[in-house]
Amino acid sequence: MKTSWKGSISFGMVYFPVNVYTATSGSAGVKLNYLHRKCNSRIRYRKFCDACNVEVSQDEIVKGYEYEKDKYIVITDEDFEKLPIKSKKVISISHFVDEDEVDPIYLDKAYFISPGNFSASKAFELFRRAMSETGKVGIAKITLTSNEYVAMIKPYDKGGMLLYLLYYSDEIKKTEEITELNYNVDIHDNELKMAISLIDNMTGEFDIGQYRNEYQDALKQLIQSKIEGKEVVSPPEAQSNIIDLMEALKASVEAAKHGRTDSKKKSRGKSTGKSTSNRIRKTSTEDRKPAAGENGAGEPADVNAGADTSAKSKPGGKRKIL
Amino acid sequence: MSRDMFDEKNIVPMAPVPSEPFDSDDYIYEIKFDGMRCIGYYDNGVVLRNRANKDITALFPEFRNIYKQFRHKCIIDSEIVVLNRGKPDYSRLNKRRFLSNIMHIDLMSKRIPATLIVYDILYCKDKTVTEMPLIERKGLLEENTVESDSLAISRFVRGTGTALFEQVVNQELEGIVAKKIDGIYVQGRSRLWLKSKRRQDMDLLLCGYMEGKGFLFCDNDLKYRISIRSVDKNTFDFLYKYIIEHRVDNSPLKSGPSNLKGAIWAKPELYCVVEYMQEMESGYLREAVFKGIKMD
Repeated sequence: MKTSWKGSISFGMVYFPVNVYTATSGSAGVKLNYLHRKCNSRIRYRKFCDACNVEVSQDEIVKGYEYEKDKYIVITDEDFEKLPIKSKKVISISHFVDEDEVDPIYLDKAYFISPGNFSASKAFELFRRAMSETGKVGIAKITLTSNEYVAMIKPYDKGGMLLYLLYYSDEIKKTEEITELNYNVDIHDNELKMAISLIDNMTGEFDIGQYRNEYQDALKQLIQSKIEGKEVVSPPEAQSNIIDLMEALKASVEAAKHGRTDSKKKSRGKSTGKSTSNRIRKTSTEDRKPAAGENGAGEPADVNAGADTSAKSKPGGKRKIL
Repeated sequence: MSRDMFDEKNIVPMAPVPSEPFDSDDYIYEIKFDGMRCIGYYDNGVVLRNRANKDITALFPEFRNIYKQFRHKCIIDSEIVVLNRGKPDYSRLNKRRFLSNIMHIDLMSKRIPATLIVYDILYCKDKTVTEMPLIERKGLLEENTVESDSLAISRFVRGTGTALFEQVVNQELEGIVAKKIDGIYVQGRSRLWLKSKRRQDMDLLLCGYMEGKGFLFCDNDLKYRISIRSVDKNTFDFLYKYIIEHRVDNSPLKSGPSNLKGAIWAKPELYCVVEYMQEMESGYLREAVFKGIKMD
């Protein structure tokens, strides 16, 4: 698997290199493009400046912050570099917590972590097992590309460790804004019992593998059948071509040796005999000669074992193909 | 039962040494096809490995049932090619080799199906046959193989290397391989096989990208060699992503032209194979074409 990035884990006095891999692919969905209805060409996105009335290229673009309507403060690359980010490429664990203290709502993207090199394996496994035995997870700060994140690190039961980027608390919306949640109802004990037994009835094992994205399956099937229905752009090639080509080259080389073929003539003749696409394979009943052949000096023995070594004596056996 | 070559699946394919074309009755000559090297393990299923022993079975669903074309359990050395008007087309093959989405692989296997050209046999029934002389292996290969729409046995001639090379040049194929007629199968590079290519290869390091020029390559001495613009979309995406992920602020080049301002530079660590017609005195490579990432 391709690493997303390489860095180090540090906590207390411990420091060891790790590789970080994206754990989820997110590519389950079929990617569709926008096309111009009239001509089926791709719709392109162009960066355009309305004020200057020109298209602009990437190197003409800077970032800015709109602090007031239509008023911007420009932030340059140098400005970004001045920002105090300490945790670059270091997963710096500040403390450990019990895993169930971390509300799943904070979990964002998942990554796999492995030892960064062979000698880091021991520290890696030690740290992993210690977390596993204590049921604790590490809370850390890291920097990816241009932002700083909080992360949670935990042992993964299928090997290695997992790193989850976490949302910051101010990124989680407040349920107070959902007014329908301000209800007030009475629940009777036997109603609750009934609901619980309903749940018990439907309790099973968690097996994500049993769920398929049926919409995507159907979409893929639709695309497949559309492609097969209009397979005209590049029809599959018959493989006979490659055998023909090989036979043709072989024949012309052998013919040239007899001085009977002008190799500059490029008349692509009809294939004959064994060179046709569905040629009948010679079987062991053919007069197969040993590899070295008895064809005499300079004779281009057809050493294709199992093939017909007497081709040269057949009238019309030589094809002028090349 | 002890594990044998078939179970171990760690064959290093035999590789030829460069040579000028020549004529000798001690050799047979085959067309060198421009494709992906493939060691195939066939019993009641198919396992395909590339030159670096990476499993490529899933990339070629069209070969899923190809084991039925072999009479016995076997290990076969071969080249996977994708044809375009009857000739192997490397850029078409490139459209296949970087796919990872299963649906996309399935789709492309129907649009531009690959062909397997088999040329050697290393194992047959229940034993290793690498010690057999080449010409006997060729016979065994032919007996054991039934050609089909996607499977061809490589044809060869004896003695006439220069004439075959001439034809190959005319046809703009990759080249020829001369093989010692009584040679055994050796894993790795061996002088028993000699290749003559129409064009030459060079291993270069990817070192950057520049708008308008394309991908920039340097040699081991960090000397700038060539820029290559025309690569297919998959290759472009792959190389571009690599550069972004391995980006460095300053040019890693020790020497090179000064007109590379504005290039994005990458740490020169990824070896690529570049094919060219002629190396000029300046180090410039005439008619350079990107061939692929070096796998070994």
